[in-house]
Amino acid sequence: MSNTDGEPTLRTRISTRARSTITRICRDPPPKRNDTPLNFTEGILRATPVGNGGVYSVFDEVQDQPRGSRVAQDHSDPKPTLSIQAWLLKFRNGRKENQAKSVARPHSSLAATSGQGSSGQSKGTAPRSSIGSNRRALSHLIPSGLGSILYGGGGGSRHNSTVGIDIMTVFPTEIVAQILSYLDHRSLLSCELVSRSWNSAAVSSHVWRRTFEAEYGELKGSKRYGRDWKTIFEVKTTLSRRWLKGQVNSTYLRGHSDSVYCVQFDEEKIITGSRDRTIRVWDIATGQCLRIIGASHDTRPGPNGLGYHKGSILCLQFDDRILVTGSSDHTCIVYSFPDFEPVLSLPGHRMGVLDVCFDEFHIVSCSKDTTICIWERSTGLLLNRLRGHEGPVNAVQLRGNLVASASGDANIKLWDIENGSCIRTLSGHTRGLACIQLSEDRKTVVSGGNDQSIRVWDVNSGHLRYEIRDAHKSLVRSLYLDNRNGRIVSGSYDQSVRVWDLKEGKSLLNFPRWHGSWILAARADDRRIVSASQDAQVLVLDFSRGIRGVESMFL
Amino acid sequence: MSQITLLSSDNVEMKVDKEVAERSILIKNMLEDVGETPDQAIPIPNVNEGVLRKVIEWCEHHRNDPPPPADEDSDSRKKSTDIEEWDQKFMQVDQEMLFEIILAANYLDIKPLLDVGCKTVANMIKGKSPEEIRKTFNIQNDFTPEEEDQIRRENEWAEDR
Repeated sequence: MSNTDGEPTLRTRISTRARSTITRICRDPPPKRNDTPLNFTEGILRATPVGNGGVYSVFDEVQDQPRGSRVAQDHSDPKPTLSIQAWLLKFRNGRKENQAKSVARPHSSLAATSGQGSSGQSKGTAPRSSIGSNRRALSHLIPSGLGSILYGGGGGSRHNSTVGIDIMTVFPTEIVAQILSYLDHRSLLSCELVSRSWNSAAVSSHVWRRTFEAEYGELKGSKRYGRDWKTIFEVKTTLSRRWLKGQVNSTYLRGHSDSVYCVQFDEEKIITGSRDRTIRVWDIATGQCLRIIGASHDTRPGPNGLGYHKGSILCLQFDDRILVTGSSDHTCIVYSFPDFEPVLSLPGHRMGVLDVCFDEFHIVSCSKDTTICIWERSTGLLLNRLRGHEGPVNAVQLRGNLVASASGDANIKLWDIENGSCIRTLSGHTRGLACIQLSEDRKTVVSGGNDQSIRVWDVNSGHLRYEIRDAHKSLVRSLYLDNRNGRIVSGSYDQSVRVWDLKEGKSLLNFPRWHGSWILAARADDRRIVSASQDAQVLVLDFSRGIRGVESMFL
Repeated sequence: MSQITLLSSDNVEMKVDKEVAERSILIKNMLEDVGETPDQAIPIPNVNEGVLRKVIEWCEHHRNDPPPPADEDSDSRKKSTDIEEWDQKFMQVDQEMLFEIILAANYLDIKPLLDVGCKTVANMIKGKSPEEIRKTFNIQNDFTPEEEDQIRRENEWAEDR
């Protein structure tokens, strides 16, 4: 490659050239992986000759270079290189080189690059043409081989000796986004303050989604795209802080006339069951009672001639299609949404149904009669009855093919739902058990009961992982395991609701005497704890109220 | 092992094993398209000799790597700190070379190299104050003090209170 050494303008000339390499690469994005030959052809059709000065003018402006013959000369390559596409075409057709010469790289992506350059580059680039480009110039002057040695053997020290280059002026948006998506949130917030172009790149929702998922894990059951992930991150951070400090807003739901035994909620509603034989549906946002279901309020017989429970509602579970309740009248009832019509009755237990749960295929109920019944969800057919406990089965949970049960006999049993066999018995509690939770990944069991302790077990080994001694001052009546947030929520006859760290059992929060009597049930999600009590009230502890943009996280 | 020849933007020819060159999806697809080993040099018009040599060096070292996981959002992408030792050493070049490698990896569609390059740049940003970032990349602060205050206020939620 020829050059006129000693010319004072050489450095900047080469620098321009080096820079144009960078810009040129920016302009030619890699083809899509599934590029077809057809696409190549299209590219060629849109292409323009290399000699077009307009392609480079943007670049010259950025460099604050006077445009003149020197620059133009720079770009008149003695041997114009062919684009890969052109080469491919040539190779295929075996055409003469001069035919392919007129085919140059398409410059369709030029606009995007120039837009980036003009936004942030004008001030930042001025001092750059000195030291950095000097070395750069050297590498370009060396004909072959040495260039790589120059770069290859450099080592870390070279970093510091270089004048930096603003990545916003060098990289297309996707690459900038990829770089930023590896950052933690504090670094990202730093980036926002660097400059205007950095700011607009660092507030990108795409980048914040990655950062959110890296720091908080995936946001369950919600769509990823078209959302403001920076706001979601902010909400989550504020929310976590409130969970740490126990900053809550409380609302009491009043309406039941007797003990509230069971509760479940989602983003719209709370459903509770009571000793007053009714089920109530509440609007979670307003606290209004939307609906009362039960014998004393609704005398209509269901479409199948099914009635309502004739005893206390002791347990319930719902998903987006059905609600299942269990009662001291020995039966379970399945209701359809959204009308809450009873569609199935499950008679089979000989005493009160103390807990119930279900998945896509099965409904599992447990009873004071010491047995567990497995029902077919769609038909209500009794598939199996699990015997083995020597006392009332107070709690049951189903995950995959694993059923975990807790009994007044102080034992935990793990069952295979397919064949009904007892896989393992976990012993250790000194008195009867009231509640049990099985984690979604089926690795962890949490149990509580009359010995006032909470125990956390390893399902695979059957070993006790740890015990929270004297977790409460009375019977541990209710447990809720939030595996994703690493929390256990417990409710007790000592009238308190407590929150524990799942990893080590450390006490995180205590809400003593927010109810006037025994806590009978407590559940939680990302932003609330809802508890039900013998005092006939339901308490909503909301950690999220008033957080700016909170609804963007819980769509 | 069949070899092919690559031609850098500054017209330097380099012979490489086909297997090595095919770390570049761009070249791989193209060779598949052609269906035979070409006897002419393949022009890489956007990459100069120095950069192309570095890229080939990386491809040589990683010639036997298993293909990257298809899932874009797999865990490996989430942590910027885990760059294997050889790659860390490989990326110890000056900024301009680093950036050119990234652009070349993008152009040639060598995703694992692009990832390593982007992670390297991310590590240059990580944990730094705005002023330190400006120094690293030679950036002028073009905010007014009022604008800066505004951004700081908007991001106050991140402070430990």
